Amino acid sequence: MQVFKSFFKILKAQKAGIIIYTAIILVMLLVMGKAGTGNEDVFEQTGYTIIIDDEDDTEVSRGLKEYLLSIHEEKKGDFSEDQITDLLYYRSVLAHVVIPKGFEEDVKSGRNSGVQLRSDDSLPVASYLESQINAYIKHLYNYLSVGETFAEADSKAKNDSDYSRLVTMSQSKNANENRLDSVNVILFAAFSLMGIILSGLLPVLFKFKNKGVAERTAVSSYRPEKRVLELSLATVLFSFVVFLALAAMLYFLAGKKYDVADLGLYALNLFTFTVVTALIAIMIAQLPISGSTSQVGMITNVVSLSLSFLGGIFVPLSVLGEGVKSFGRFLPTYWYATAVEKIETGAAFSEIAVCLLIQLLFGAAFIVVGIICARMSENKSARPAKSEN
Amino acid sequence: MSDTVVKITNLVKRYKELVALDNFNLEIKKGEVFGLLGPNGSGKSTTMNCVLSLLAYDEGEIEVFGERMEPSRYDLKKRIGVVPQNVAVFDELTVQENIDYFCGLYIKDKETKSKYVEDAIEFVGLSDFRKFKPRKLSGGLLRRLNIACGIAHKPELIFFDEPTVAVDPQSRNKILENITELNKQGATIVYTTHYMEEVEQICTNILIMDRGKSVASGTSEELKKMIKNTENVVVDIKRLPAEKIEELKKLSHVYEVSYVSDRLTIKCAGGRHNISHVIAFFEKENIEYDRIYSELPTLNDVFLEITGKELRDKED
Amino acid sequence: MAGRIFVTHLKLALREKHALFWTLAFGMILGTLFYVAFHGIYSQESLDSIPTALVTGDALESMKDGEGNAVDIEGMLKELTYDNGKKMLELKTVSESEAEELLANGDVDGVISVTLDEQNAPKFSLEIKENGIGQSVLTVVVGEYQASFDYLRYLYENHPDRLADYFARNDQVIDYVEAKNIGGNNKDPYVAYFYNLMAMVCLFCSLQSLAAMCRNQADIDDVGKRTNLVPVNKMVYELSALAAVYVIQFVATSLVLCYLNFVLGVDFGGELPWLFLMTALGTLLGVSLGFMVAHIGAKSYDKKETILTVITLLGGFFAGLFYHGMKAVMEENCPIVNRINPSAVITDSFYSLNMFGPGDRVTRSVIYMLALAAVFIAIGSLLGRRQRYASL
Repeated sequence: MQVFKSFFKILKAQKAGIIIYTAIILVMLLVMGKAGTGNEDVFEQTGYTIIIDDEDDTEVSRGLKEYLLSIHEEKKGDFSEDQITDLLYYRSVLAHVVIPKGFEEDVKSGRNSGVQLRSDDSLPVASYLESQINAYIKHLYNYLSVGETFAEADSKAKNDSDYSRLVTMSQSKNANENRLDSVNVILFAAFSLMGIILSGLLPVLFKFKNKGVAERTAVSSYRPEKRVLELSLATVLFSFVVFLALAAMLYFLAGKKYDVADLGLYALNLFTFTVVTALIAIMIAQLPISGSTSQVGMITNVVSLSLSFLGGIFVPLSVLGEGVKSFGRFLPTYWYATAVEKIETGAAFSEIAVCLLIQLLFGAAFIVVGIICARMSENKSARPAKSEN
Repeated sequence: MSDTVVKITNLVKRYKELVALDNFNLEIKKGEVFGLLGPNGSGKSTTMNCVLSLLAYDEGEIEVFGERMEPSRYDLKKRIGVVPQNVAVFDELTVQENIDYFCGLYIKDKETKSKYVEDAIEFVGLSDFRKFKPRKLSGGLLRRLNIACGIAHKPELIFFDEPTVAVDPQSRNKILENITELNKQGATIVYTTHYMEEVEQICTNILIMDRGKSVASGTSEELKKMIKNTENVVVDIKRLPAEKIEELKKLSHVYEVSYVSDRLTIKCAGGRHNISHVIAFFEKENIEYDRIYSELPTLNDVFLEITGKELRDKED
Repeated sequence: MAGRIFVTHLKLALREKHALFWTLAFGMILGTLFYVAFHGIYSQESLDSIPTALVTGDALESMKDGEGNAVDIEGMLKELTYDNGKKMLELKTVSESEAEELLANGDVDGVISVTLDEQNAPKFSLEIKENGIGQSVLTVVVGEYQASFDYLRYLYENHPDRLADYFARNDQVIDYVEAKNIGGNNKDPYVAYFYNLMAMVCLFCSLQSLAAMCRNQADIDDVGKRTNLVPVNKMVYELSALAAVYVIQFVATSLVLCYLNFVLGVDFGGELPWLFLMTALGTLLGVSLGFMVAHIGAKSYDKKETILTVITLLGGFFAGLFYHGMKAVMEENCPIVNRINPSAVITDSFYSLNMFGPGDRVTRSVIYMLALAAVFIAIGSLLGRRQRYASL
């Protein structure tokens, strides 16, 4: 098992890179892995994170604020104008509402109170919030104008603005809790897997492909099939260890809220993707490139980022356009993300299995490409070399 | 003005617990071809790197051209050339571009530089290869390029760090010729190697070192006179009984006899016609032999006698 | 002397084709992929008419307003528009069974039903299948209509003398809200991915400056043994070589910028000269980062490359390369990271140019980039002052 043992000796020399890559990804997973809950069974008005500045601070302005915060979430803090622009652009908040001084007076007099609403006006959120603010103030004035006290008018206005009594849900979504952030972590695992496996495997595989080493091995009595088998075995073992480590990390970060069946399915999906990633590494190692450290780094980044962005790993599939999705179907990451989505929504096992099988088919295709590249470079090196001097 | 070009006094260099140079002393005079001879790991390259201010050392003093050598002494560096052990050239530049670049780091004037570069290319015999990139050159030609880059600016003091390692005999001879020629042109040469034949061939003064210490120094003849051995009689002989070896030891002027792999080596201290005595012994004892010859002791014999070790590993 | 060193290293950098190739390829490949992935998402999110089904049945015919006129619910709903004049609802009046089918198939976001209550007053209801912004807008619409009718009933029952006032007031449309835009030349938040891409491309230039500097180190490269012995000040030598690397890498990053801007048509939200300035400063930051890391203690070239990979990857993550809101999260929770993270600093320069135009914020970004580059070079120079090696 000479080749098998040498593989791990060489891998040991790469351990610094592997550890660092793993640490980077762990940091990323930790930052992303926060819990999120929500219930899809009943109607919930879409709530956004908004900033409200109440410059009037009267009972009327507080009434409006209270109403808005019954639907939306407030982001508290002392933000400058520039900071608010940043938050709006990156959608940490969707709107900035300013209730100006004199608001109570204006409302009681039926005048335009000039509540400022800053948001991206090409998105529905602007109109949506505008409607809500207008509705509340209109209702409030309606009741104030007929002599109701503020308390009564506020209560009636809020009642009038409570639309949930008018809404019914025709069918509920899957009974599972909405585990948005956990799903993000599970999706991100695909990128993590590619990063660790490619950065770990590629340098070792390229070392075995090194001209001098390959020639020495070729003229030895070591049979080529045995060499390939041992290399494959070593690749599989390494990938399996990475899979186990990542699966453990994911369970710790996001797995506790899932039942055993779902956990099993996620693990199976991740394992399938592990196999595919290892095969991608083997294919890349057969390409006619030198495999220097910087090349390996570039390849790892390009492959993992490309597959992740186009496959719905970073940006949800639902957000990607149809054109992108059509292209993405030709990527194994797309099927990994689709499988995650199907597990999340409780789809039948047969549907999930299709996604897994398609991933494996990709793996088979990568192997074929790898073999073709290897044969081509063998034929090229079999031709007599030109004399150097 | 002193004609001492390099002076090392009580140099100590430690790598953690390992003492690489142990109160090492050395003096090189102007115009010498100074050989620094020693087995692998004896401290030759360490000495050279300390003199060149590449390596930090723990104790001692180093003077070059009578001045204390420091990394910022550019006036001294201008007068020094280095041919490192490994080929140190840019793979992306041609032969001419490499020599031009490194010479240009020493010589400001463009015309002078161009002339020096041409001289260097001619000197090492790379005229036909000036547009080649290093990866297209054979090992020997690469070594010549390596030399050209180190001497193009016509330095007064040149350090050669094992320049003939892994080089074919033809290129090796060429390199040694070049070094001799450089010396004739006025350069002082410091030559580190573990090949005693090269040292014996070109060096005017030799220092043998081992484990960071100076073991012996002098000319080749002086070094050989330091040891008992004055002559080695070598006989190729099959099946020599042990009692005959003992009897050989009793011959006059013989002080050591070894018989390994059908080769008998008889070390003699003094005496004349030692080979005749040995031949007479074989005839008297009716012992057949294939070949017999006499040779003078080598620097390896000097090293062996002083340290008890071979200069080179058996694999060399 | 500096000139000779600069010219030779320019030649070296140009001849290291694979180095140039990877900077260009990385930027162009990922740029194309980003374009395919993100192009058009923002426009899809924009205001669109909400597909809606309306079920009224016979109730519609008997609905009257306060003055006894027939109430045209369908007409009223069809006339609803957003502020930009676009129709709010894509309305279909259908039967109940048809509406159920449309909702089940996802062809409509909601079904508005209008019936009459016991008092023959209109009763609005909404049926939806899932929560979403379309559905929420529909609830506001339905809710407001219901609220209007409920208020009318309230007035009839409690303050009939106020009816006339109410009708008079109802004819006036009072908008209590002053809408303001968030500003910026290009509000599309997905363009931030391209800012991050440019940051990454600039920072990958650090690999080339690392290679050039390590070649000058005697304990890493044999050529370094030679160059450490030449009569040229070490800093002059290294900075001349660095300048050459910078020039070549700036050409590469500029080509990437041109590809993104002209070929893919990505709107960075700023004028071209400013974009080139940001790219130039970003490249400077990248090569100076490589310069600094080259002088950090580790003897191994691979270890130094790994350090750069860590800085670039992690820096990109915290600057929003994978999730574009991450930079804002860091700004809120740990703003110092955004000041020292080279990726964030470069990304912010493009972002500031887009959102605030050439002004204080952009000037601040420029100063940050220059300051950070200066710090990297200063640290590298200090660490590289070491004149002798402990071992070779």
